[in-house]
Amino acid sequence: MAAASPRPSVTASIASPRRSVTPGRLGLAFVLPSVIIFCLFLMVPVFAVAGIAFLEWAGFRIGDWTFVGLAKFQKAAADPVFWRSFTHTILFTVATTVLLNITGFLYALLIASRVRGSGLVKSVLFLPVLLSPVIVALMWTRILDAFGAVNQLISLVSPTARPTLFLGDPDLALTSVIVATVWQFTGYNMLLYYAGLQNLPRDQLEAASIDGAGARASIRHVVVPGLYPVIGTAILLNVIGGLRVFDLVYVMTRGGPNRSTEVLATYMYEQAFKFSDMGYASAIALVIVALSVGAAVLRIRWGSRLHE
Amino acid sequence: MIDRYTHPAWRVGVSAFLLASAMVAMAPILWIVGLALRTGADVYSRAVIPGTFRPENFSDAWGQFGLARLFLNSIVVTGLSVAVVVTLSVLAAYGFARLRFRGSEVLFLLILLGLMIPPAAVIIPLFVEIRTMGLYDTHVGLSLVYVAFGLPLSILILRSFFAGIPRELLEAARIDGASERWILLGVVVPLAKAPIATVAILTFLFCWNDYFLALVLLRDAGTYTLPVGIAQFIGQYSTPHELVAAAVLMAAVPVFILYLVLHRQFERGVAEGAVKQ
Repeated sequence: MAAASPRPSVTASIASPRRSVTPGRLGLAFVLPSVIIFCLFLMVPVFAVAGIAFLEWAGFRIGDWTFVGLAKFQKAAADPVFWRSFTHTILFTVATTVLLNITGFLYALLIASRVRGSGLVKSVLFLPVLLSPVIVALMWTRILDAFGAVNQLISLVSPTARPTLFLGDPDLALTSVIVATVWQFTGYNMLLYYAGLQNLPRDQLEAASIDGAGARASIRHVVVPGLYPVIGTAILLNVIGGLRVFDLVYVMTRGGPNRSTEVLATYMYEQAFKFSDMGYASAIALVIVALSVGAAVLRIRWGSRLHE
Repeated sequence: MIDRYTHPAWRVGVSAFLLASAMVAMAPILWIVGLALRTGADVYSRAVIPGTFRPENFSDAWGQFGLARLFLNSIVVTGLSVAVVVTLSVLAAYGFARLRFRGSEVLFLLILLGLMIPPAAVIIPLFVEIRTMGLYDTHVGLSLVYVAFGLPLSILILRSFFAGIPRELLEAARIDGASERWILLGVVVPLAKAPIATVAILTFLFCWNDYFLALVLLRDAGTYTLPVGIAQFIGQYSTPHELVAAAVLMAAVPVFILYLVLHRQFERGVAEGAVKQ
């Protein structure tokens, strides 16, 4: 300890007038810069977005707005494109959450068995997690286009087939975006589950094996129950990530073709920054918030039921 | 762990399945590498394996898309944001953990609420706010927003570490006459290298990879960060595919290299960041 703080001498601290500063005051001073930035750029905007949703406002000048009450929410309720974005968001969220938890859990289990090559596989699966979704989106746009890898493979099998336009076909575009997302984030769930497996109590697993439980039985009765907290966390993070998806969709398809991949975030972006309808865009943003908060509340309820 | 139940043949099977999966997982990247090395004419061939080799695509893409500028902008914004987040979150986390004051618990819980706020939810007021402050289309404005989004998780991670430092260690330093500032810099920060690295890595990934906030808060191509800049290529259908592929790969290189060097820190950091939420 003395080695860690060689400079400040006893005389300095006695002579220092700062002695009068209480730890509490100092704590406040330490905390204040973070609190100010946080309030200014996160707290104030959260309250503001709830207010703007009740305004007719183009966003150009503050005060240059009219109060329209619930009109923007009524507009959303009657807007088929809003409902399509809503449905796509839910579809995307459910599909990616289910798939990522299956692939993530499967690979975590297999890698935890420490067979030859599992370390390499872990790194390879995790690498895409670190890439910007923009990079992933641009890669998959090329892979899925008329001259992309998938069409090259199809033409190997049937040389006369016409190229499939995965991102240009309203029936295939959303699935394509889901595939790219699962490719990018399987490693994320794998890592979460792998970390969870490392923390499982060893003695329980051993007790199960002494009782003669096979691998399948011990996965079902020891591993999965032991992973409940991790499963909850993984699902919540996937759901929240799915509800706010923007980058992959916007770069790959711009919400098209014909709105077939439009999600809440891309539709909100369009309303705000293409059509300057800040009120309507804020109402859509509130829907994203409400869905995220709802997911978190469900998670907390589920978590507390498990502890009873 | 589950290995005690396993038959050798099963282990070989698992090994083969995992290696096949790794190849499938790598295939998109490898195909893009192939695309980046093709000549313009070969892009439209139906061969999965490129029949041509043109490494000049990389230098062409670098010049044509102004990647030097995009890299520089990303480095400035990310560097600034990471430095500020680390500094402020160390201070705040130490305050919350060790220098409690009346209301500090409430403030801490308030900041934790920030974990729940998606960028899309607040982008409209943020845009108006940043423009009103004269920070629209500036790197400082974008960095301030990154800092606000980076602080909650960073403070949470560091606070739980600081709270676990034995009281005797800090008391001993105090008896030695060290001021609180010196205790923080000389005793606490050196102990906290691992969680500080986690915070730095998570903030780096968030800022370096962000597209949405930069897309809204920057306007001029000269200020664009890497993700916004390269995303512009896709809108131009005339852009040669092989150059897009080369640019995308070059944009990914810094993260590849960092992951190679620091793969343990990255994996631990991302896992910890997820569990803390």
